[in-house]
Order: sequence, then C-alpha cells, then structure tokens
Amino acid sequence: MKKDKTERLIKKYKEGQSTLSEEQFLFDSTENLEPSLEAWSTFVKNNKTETPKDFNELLWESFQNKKNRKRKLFVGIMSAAASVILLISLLLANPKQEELNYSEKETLLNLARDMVHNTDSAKIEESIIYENEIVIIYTTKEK
Amino acid sequence: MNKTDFRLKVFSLSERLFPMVSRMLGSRANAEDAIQDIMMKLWEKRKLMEEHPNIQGLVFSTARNHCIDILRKKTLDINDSSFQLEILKSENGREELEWKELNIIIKKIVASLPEQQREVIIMRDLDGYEFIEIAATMQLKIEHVRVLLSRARKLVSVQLEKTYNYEKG
Repeated sequence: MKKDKTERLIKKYKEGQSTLSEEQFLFDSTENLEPSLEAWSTFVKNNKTETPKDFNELLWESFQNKKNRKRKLFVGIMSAAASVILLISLLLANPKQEELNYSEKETLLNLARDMVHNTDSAKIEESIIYENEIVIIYTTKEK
Repeated sequence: MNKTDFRLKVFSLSERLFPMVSRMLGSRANAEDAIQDIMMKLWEKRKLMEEHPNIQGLVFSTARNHCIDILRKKTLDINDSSFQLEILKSENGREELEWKELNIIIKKIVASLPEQQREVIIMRDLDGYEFIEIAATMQLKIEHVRVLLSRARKLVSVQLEKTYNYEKG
C-alpha cells in the first residue's frame, strides 16, 4: 500500500506534477526509494536553506531604521543645499562695493582739500589775556 | 501604496526571497543586506507598484536581478550552478567522507544541467518554491517550469544511476 503510494509519488515527482508537501513526504520516507532518489533526497535535506525565525519582523525593524537614516540624510543634504543657495542669492543681491582706485582717491582728496583751503591758509594771531592750569583766555585777529 | 499595504503585500515576501537570495549570494548576512536593498528599491517604486498586476512576480524578478547585478559587480565565482554547499555534518568520519563525496558528485551533476533546468530544480527542491513563484522569478509559464523541472529531475536521476552502476562495477 505504502509502496504503491511511494511509486505513484515518484512518478508524479519525475513528471514535475507533485506538490511541495508530496515532495516533502517523498524525501522524508526513504524506504522504497530508488538509490538515485535516496541520494538526491539526502543531498536536498543537507543543503536546504532555512529561513531564519521571525525573519520578516527583524528585517522590518532594520528596514525602518535604514529608511529613516536615508530620510535624515536626504533632509540634511537638502538643508545644506538650501543654505548654499541662500548665501549665493544674498551675495548676488548685495554685491560688494567696488574699491576706488588711486587716481579716484586722489581726486576726492584734492576736492576735500580745496573745500577747506581758505581756513587752512588764513593766518591767525592770538594774544593771551589770562592763563592758568585749567583755562586759557585769548583774543584772535585775522591778518 | 501606503506603509501598511507595502508591509503586507511586498515586505512579507522577504521570507520567501531568503532561500534564493542566500543561495545566490552565498551567505545569510549578504542575503539580509540584499533583501533590505531590494525592499528599499521597491519602496521607492511603491506608487508604480500599486497598479501592477503581479506584485509577487515583480518582487521575485527584482530580487533575482538584484542578485545577478551584485554577482556581476563583485565578479564572484559563480561556477557550479551558483549555489554553495556547506560542509556536511555527520556522526562519524567515514559517513562524512561518503557524504562529501556524494555531494561533490551531485554538485557536478547539477552543474552540468542546462541553465534553466538547473535553476528550476534548485529553486524547487532546495529552496522549496511553489511553481508560481519560480515562474514569476524566471518569467516563464508554469507549464514550462514543470517541463524543465521534469527534465532536470530525470537527468539527475539518470546521472546518479550511472554513478551507482559504475561504483558497483
């Protein structure tokens, strides 16, 4: 009875028509298996990749952390970029006043000197009336 | 697609991806990192995924392509059908030696299979995937997957029989 079932399953297995649970049953019941299939089932059992327990939950936690880190990094980069843009626009809006060259400075100084030229050249005669440590009283007379 | 939908429809497939990704990349740590990256890629495409007719298929094929990209970049040795074997544990030295020998033989047989047959038999027998998942990953029809699997199983069986007959003399 069991032999018949196994033979039927082997046929289905070789035709690619068996289900995963039937295949599991076949690999678990090594009795009545032909040597090649027995060797294959041993190979499969020893090399099957087992998914770690609670894999989805553990991975979801680290996925969340990674997603948040990535978002923080994005926000950081965007803030830095915004700051740079702001600085550039401020510089463009208020350009630094151009420095005057020497000839322009000279012209301005001459102009200023001309404005005070009269007082500068006037000679003033002072005669002291009273003087102590704190006050000096004097009279002036322009020549 | 919001976060809850994404977790339910997409992220929940991480467990199913693990055997394939782990086998392709050769270690659990690599597999975990890769699945996270795959999920990050899919998360960024979540708006497009909302109307996708076959989300499961998309997730599986994205994962497979991602692994292939990693392998190409790292130029890892992907000979021997791109799956790695662990050293077998057994109770005594003789058995261990026999198992090692058997594994080497089977590994060679599997490596000699045509590419699609090899991929299908590994995904089904070692990774334990459903036909629908294999079909989605390899972008084939289920019937085609069954045919490839049947051929692969028969070839492996014939080759193993030959080995046993040779050993018997």
